[in-house]
Amino acid sequence: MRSLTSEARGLGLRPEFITDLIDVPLVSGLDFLEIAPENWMNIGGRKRDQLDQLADRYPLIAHGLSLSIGDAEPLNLSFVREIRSFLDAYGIELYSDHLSAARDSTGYLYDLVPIPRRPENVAYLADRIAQVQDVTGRRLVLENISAYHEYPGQMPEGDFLAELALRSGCGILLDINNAYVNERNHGADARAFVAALPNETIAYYHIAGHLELADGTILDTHGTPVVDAVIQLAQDVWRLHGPRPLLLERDNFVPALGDLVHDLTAIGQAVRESRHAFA
Amino acid sequence: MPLPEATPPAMAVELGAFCAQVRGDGTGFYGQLLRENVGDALRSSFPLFADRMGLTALDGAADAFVVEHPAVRPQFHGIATEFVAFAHTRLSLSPVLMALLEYEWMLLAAEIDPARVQAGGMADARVALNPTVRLVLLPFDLTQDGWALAQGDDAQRPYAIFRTPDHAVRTLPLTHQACLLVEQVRDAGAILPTTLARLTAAHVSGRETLAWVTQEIASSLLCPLPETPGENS
Repeated sequence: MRSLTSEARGLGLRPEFITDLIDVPLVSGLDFLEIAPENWMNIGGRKRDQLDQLADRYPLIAHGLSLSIGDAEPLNLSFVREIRSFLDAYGIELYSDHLSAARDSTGYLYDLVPIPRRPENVAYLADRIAQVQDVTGRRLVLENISAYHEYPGQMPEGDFLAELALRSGCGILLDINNAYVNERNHGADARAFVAALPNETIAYYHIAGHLELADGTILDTHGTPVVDAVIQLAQDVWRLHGPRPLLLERDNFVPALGDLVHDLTAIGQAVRESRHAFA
Repeated sequence: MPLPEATPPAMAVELGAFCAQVRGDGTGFYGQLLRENVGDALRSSFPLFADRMGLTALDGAADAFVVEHPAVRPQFHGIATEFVAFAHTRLSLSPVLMALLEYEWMLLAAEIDPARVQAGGMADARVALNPTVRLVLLPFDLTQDGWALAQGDDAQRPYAIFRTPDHAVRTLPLTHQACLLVEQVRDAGAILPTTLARLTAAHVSGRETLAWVTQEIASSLLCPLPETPGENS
C-alpha cells in the first residue's frame, strides 16, 4: 500500500492509454492512477492482466460509481463487501464515490442523480456512511457531484457536505469543476461552497474540462481541456485549503498520454505557483 | 448493534418522485442521459444485435429498459446481463435476434470470465475444457463478414466460445463428433487423452480422438493440466 503526498498528481485510468502506461517506462509527472472499481472487480482476462501490471507500477486509488450512498433503499452490502475484497487485493487505501443516488425502488439507474439536501437527511446518510466504512475498513470519501436538477429549498451544498462529513467522519473529494458547473448552472457560489468545507476533511481534488451548450448550460463532460476559470477556482481552493493530491479527469476525446500528462503538470504548476504567490 | 437509521419519509418521497420522473420521461436531462447510457452499452456490447435490430427499435428497447427494468447489478458492464434478462421477459424478439443477443453476451462473458486460462502443458497430460468455455446452439453460421442464417432441417449449429491464454475470444464451430468428445471431457472434468479415446471408441477411432485432442489443445478449447505426482488416470 503506497500513500500519496499532498503534491501528487494523477489521472483517471482510461482504456485509451493503458497500453502506453504498461509499455513505456514510468511516466514522469504521473504519480498515481484512479480507477473505477466496478469496472475491474470480478473481471478476468486482458483487463485483469493489465490491472495487475499497472498496480505493480503506480499507486492506485478507487473512485466508485455505484455505491448509491444517497438512495432510499437498503445499502447493497454484498456489493460493498466485493469492493472491500477488491481494495484489499490491490492494496488500495483511498476509496471514494459520489454523494448521490444511482438506484431507486425499481433498481439501478446507471448514472448519478442528485439527492435532496435537507437537514433531516444528514443522520440517515451519516449512518449509511458508517455502515460502508465498517464493511470496507476505510474512510469513505465522497465527491460533490455536478447536478442538473435542483430540489426546491435545499441546504447550501457546502453546508450540507460539511455537516455530513463532520458527523460521519467521511472525507471529501472536492471536484473543482463540479463546483464551477453548479455555480454556472444554478448560481451557487462556488467559492462559498469551497469555503464551507472543513479543511481537514478534504482528501483530494478532481479537476476536469466541461462543455458549454448554446444556451449557456455547462455539462461536466470530462471531454475538453480545463478552462482558465476552473484553474482560477483551483488556485483559490489551494490558497484556502492547501495542497492535496490532484487528479485530472478526461473520459471523452482522450488525447495522447503525453499530452494529458503535460496538461496535468501545467495545471499542477499553475495552482502551486499561485499558492506561493499569495501565501 | 443499533438499527440503521430509517429513510426519512420525505426524502424517500422526494427522491422517489424525481427518479420516477427520470425513468418515465426521456426528454429531460437525466431521462436522456440514462437512455443514452443504456443505448451506448447495448451498441458496444451487442454490435451484431444492434445492427440487426435497427436504431429505432434499439432506442425503444433502451427506453423500455430504463422505464421498467429492476436492475440489480450495480456495475455499468452489468447492463449487458441485465438487458439479456430484460429481453427474455419483456421484449418480443425474433428467435434470430434473441440468438444474436445471447451469442454476443457469451462473447462478453468469456472475455471477462475471472478464470485463468493456462497456456502450455504436457502433450500427454490430462486435459480439461477451457475454464471460460460456453457451449451453445445457434441458428446461424459465422462467416468472414459476420453471420448468415443456417439452412437445412438441422438449423442449429453447435459452437464453443472461449478465451485463449493470450485473451482472444474464439468461437469454434463443433462437429457432431467434437460435441461427443467435448461432452466426455466436460463430464470427466479432467481426463487423459488415452482414457478419452477408450471411452469414445465405439463412436470415434482412437487415432481421431488423439488427433482431436492435439488440435484442440492448440486452439485452447482444451487445456492440459499440470501433472500431480503419482497421478495416472
